[in-house]
Amino acid sequence: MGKNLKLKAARALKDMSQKQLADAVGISRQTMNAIESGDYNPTIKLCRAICKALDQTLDELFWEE
Amino acid sequence: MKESLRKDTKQDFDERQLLERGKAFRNAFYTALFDVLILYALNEFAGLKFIDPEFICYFLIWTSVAVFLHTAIWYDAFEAPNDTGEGRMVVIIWGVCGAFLLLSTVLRTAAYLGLPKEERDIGNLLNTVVTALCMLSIFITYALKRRRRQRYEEE
Repeated sequence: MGKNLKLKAARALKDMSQKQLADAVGISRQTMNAIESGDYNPTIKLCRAICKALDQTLDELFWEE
Repeated sequence: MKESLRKDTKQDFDERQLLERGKAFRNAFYTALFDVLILYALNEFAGLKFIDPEFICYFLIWTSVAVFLHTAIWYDAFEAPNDTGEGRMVVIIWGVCGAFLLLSTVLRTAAYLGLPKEERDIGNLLNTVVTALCMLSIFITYALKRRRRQRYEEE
């Protein structure tokens, strides 16, 4: 699994740090880092929570072409 | 949203941490099995009769706990996102206790060597060494990981 650059870009667009986004969805900063770097494949529940926190859709953040 | 992903438990680990802790439990369980095998072999085939049941209990418990905690700490599954610092306190106390136990073992070894051979109880000495080393190694792993995390956050 490659890096999730779309998630990183969306987070940067919202001017949020990994820690801030992690706190917003109730996970640890390390887990957020693992998701962004592609080391961890989150559940759909967590994906939805991240999407809502960043005002994005699942397709925009997690769909791989 | 935040509440929906968390349960009302004290230590509220996220989904990745729960997975990592599961793997850590599995590793600890395999360690206990492996320990039994090794200790049994040493006792039965190598003839090392100093391995008494008390030592086996200490060894099994401490090595398994150490493997679990090392794995959990290393994969960032030791402290929950809502951590209150209790885990850190426990590890620090273990570090201090481990250092104290190791120091006391050195002093006890001197006294032990002064005893007549038939009165020597090496099992008791080994219990303390195993406990001390496990406590200290957990503390060191935690300190290293914490330092690494701080460095990452500074960058």
